[in-house]
Amino acid sequence: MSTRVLTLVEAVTEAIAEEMERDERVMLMGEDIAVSGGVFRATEGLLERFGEARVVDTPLAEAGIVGSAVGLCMTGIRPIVEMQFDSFSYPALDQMLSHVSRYRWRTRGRMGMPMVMRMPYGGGVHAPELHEDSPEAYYAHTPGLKVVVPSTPADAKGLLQSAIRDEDPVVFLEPKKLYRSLKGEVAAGDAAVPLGKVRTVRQGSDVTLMAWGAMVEVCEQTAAALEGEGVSAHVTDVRTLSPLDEEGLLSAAAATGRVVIVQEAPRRCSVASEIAATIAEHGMYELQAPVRRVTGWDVPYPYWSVEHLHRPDVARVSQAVHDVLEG
Amino acid sequence: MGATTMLEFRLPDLGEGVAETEIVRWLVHPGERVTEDQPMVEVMTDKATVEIPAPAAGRIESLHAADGDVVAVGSVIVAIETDEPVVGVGSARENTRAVLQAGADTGAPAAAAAASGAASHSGSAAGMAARGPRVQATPLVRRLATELGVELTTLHGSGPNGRITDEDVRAAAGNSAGAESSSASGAAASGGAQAADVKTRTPAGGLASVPAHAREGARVVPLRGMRRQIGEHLSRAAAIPTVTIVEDADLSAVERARAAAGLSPLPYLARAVVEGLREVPELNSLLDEAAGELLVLERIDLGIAVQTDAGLLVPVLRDCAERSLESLDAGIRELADAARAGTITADQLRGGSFTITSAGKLGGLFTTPLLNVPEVGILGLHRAEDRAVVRAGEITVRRMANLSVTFDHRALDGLSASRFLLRVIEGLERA
Amino acid sequence: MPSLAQATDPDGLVRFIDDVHGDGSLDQDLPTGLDERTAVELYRRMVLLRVYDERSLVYHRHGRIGTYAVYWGHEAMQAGAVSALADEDWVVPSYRESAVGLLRGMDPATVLAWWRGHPAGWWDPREQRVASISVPVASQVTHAVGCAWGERLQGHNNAALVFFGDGATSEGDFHEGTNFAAVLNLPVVLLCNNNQWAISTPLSKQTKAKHLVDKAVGYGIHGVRVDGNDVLAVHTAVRDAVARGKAGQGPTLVEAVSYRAGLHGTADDPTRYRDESAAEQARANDCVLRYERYLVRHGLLEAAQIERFRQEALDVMVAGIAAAEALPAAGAADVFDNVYAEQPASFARDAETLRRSTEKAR
Repeated sequence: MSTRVLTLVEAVTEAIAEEMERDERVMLMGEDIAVSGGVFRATEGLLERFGEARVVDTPLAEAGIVGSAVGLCMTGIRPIVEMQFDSFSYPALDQMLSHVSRYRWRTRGRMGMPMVMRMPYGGGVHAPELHEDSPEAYYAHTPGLKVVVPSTPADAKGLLQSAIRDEDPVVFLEPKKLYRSLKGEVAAGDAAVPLGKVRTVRQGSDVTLMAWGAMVEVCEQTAAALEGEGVSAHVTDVRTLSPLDEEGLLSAAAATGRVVIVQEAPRRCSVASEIAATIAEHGMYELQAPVRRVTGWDVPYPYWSVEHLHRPDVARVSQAVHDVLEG
Repeated sequence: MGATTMLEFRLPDLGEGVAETEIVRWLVHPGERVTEDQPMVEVMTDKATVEIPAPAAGRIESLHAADGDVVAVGSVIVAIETDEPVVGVGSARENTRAVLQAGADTGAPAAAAAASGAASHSGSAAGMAARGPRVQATPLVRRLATELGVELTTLHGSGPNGRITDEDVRAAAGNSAGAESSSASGAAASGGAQAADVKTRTPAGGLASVPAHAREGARVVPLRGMRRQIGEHLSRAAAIPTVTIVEDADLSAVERARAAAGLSPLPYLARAVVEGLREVPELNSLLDEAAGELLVLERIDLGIAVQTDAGLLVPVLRDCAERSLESLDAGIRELADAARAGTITADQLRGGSFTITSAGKLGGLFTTPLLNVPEVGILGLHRAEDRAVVRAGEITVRRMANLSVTFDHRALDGLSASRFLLRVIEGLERA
Repeated sequence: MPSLAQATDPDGLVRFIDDVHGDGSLDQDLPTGLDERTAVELYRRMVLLRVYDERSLVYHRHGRIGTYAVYWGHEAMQAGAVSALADEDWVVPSYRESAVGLLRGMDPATVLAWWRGHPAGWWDPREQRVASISVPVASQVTHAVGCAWGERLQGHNNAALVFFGDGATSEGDFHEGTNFAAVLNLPVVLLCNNNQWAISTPLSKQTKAKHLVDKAVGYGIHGVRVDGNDVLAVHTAVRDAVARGKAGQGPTLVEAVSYRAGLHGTADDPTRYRDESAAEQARANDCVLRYERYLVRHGLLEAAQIERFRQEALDVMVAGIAAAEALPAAGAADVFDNVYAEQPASFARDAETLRRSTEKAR
């Protein structure tokens, strides 16, 4: 299978195109995604390739978009809906929580909602308010939804292909910071990667760093810096935030007995908190120190001139590693 | 005439979680024949007034509630003699209860699989790079191992699933006691521990252990739980410079007074101790070794030693100076009962300012009790017996007992302690 | 035979049937395209819905079902509208139309199970093409849009009928859904049940619009206002709307004017917020009785039929509640199964935890 180097956003485009080619029931809808190809150009060229019946510029109405997707699923269509930015998904929360996540359970498995909601996600791009949020906890907390975050172009394509094929609704969060800054090898054709499994980025023996999205890169950089100090860090990319790969996470924790979880989202009631509780409940006896979380503070995402004080960086992750090594 | 059934109709939950409902007005009376759906009774919940129709055709046998009564949901409110059996009419609550119980019977999917899944995740070692044997131990045990200089990977765990326990670590540390000053290096390694740390005060050279040959044939009684805690407490106490002064006291007056009042000797003793502590307040103090301070307390909270099946407990009777004799007696009884019943709380065992111990017949002539650290004094009342004593040049028989006060010599000198003891005895002999 | 336009009264309200106590002088003939057999079938369906609702209220008072959303007086609207659809067209109810599936052959036991809080109450929407009961007000409007849209994408020209109330027109989802339907030019029939009340909130507090149908102008779509208690008016309006949509002329907003003579639901007490005299009047103008008298006047219905339809409906209900009460009790499996297509590993552990604690409790 041939691979080429693509940016993360190009990998997204390729995933959507290939799945729309494979399955004529798949369609794409969102604001400015057709003629304009999306504000991040994630859907560039797709209107020309698949036509305006399947690539639709919708009115400016997030609840309307997701509600329509519910009806589309009922008729057997598999919609991919784009929310233009993370926070713009909030008006659609009611449809997600009240219907999208529930229809399979309501009908006792007879009718599911095979849709994907994708959105640019996270910070670090100096954007105005409500363009850099990390809303994964709202979705991870909702039974019936799956939440997936790629951190590499290969995973952006592979996980998105799997998400589109999944019979359950998937919230697919694309780290906007990495859209163009990260390039990587991406296989052509079917490159699907299964959901619900962590990825071991780097083996290590002294401390385990767990992260997703743009924070994986930060952990890799921290691990490289730590190597110089003689500290061997194990890095795990969580990838699927719901449902969690408990076995994978517990193995990673047991590999070193010291865990640092890194996320951009605020700490309180977050996915990092859920992972920490899971490790405490099921992996306590392999631990040598308390599980630590390095996260956004419990504040609204700050003005971008000080966002660097909010997003975890190598310094903060290193500090947490030192704390955890001291026990 | 055909067969009839007695239908007992129960008041349903009419308003999403209503617990009780008021009967506003019956629309039928006993003996009356009713048709199905005929309006039967008006009831009022906190949300609405509703009319309940008759559940079946028949004759009203009896009303089980009157106009104006407030009735609990689920209670029978009317009995109807129906012409034929009525199926399914009950209260929603009953149905719900039935649903829940049946649900418990139905059980869970893949319960068998769950049982194995619920086991510890030691199985998930597969898939992770091997890096030597994995050690199972809580962070607490790991810290202890670090302090005592024990290498966990060399141990065999005696806990569930081969988990290493603190006993395993202590045993391993004890075995290497004589050879290395492991506790010293352990203390250094724990980082930041102070030399005068009362908690980790152990004899130099680590913990003593019994060699294997001496263990043969012995019945092993593990020192766990409260027994172990008491043991640790006592080790600390034994390291303090204490002195004991003993005197004897004539308890005749107390015996007379308590017989008349129907009380035990303890409240009298407590009252006398209060008088003694008023005279020598330094004995009602706590000594903070780390800060190098004696904290003289205003309030007198007496610890009363109680012997229980699980060992000696010292619950605290608060504010004794403000209590009457009766209040002292009641308070002491309550604490003693709770201690023996095992219902005493941690809070009740804390925060004393001085301790009294009275072991009755088992108190010996006198004993040298250990201090209830960080208190600085403890008073013992020992065995009472009739003795021949000399009064006004004549030999006579009096009820006598020895009293001892053991005190922390760093807090006060012998003269003050004597003064205290004599004051207590004076209080007792005055009754 | 009159068309919708000819049946419109000076107030702009479409009506075919004289009031219940009228002498029929205001009657129109049966609408164009509605044959006599269908006219009688409409009545039978109304009776079926009426009996379902009446019995449900009794069952609630006996604790056999839980909280229930009464729809007494809405039978004309529900039966009239659904009967105007083809079998392949979608019906998207709110919670007021909880029993509308009965008109498409759904077992009453299923709907009764929903109100008994039993999972068997959640049917598969694709079986009768009736979407699930929708609790969040107006949220279903966009679902209807998606249904019509999905049909079109797959080459079918099927319509979607969505019910919502006067209160729902204040929700954002009503606006977004109607706008989508308009922009996409979909065959959606937006049936607004304007019964004047959203629990205790009267229409005057809900909107400043003179008539709810006026909102159609804002979306650039067709609108019509009918007497919601007149089954022929509702039927004709919806039938025309479906034809319009399938002819590529987009959605229609049908405002069915009625009055919520009954309770909002079984936990409601209207005497707390309104003068019941208007409700009394509305109750006297019962839509089922009104149509019955119309049919009798026109020689289309006989007493024996009236009696038979009612008895059949009763039999169906008695069998329905018996079946609903005979359903095996829901259990742990109903809690854990089907949240996802494949059950997550952690669920087995949770189910075991539940099993252990319920065992202990016993």
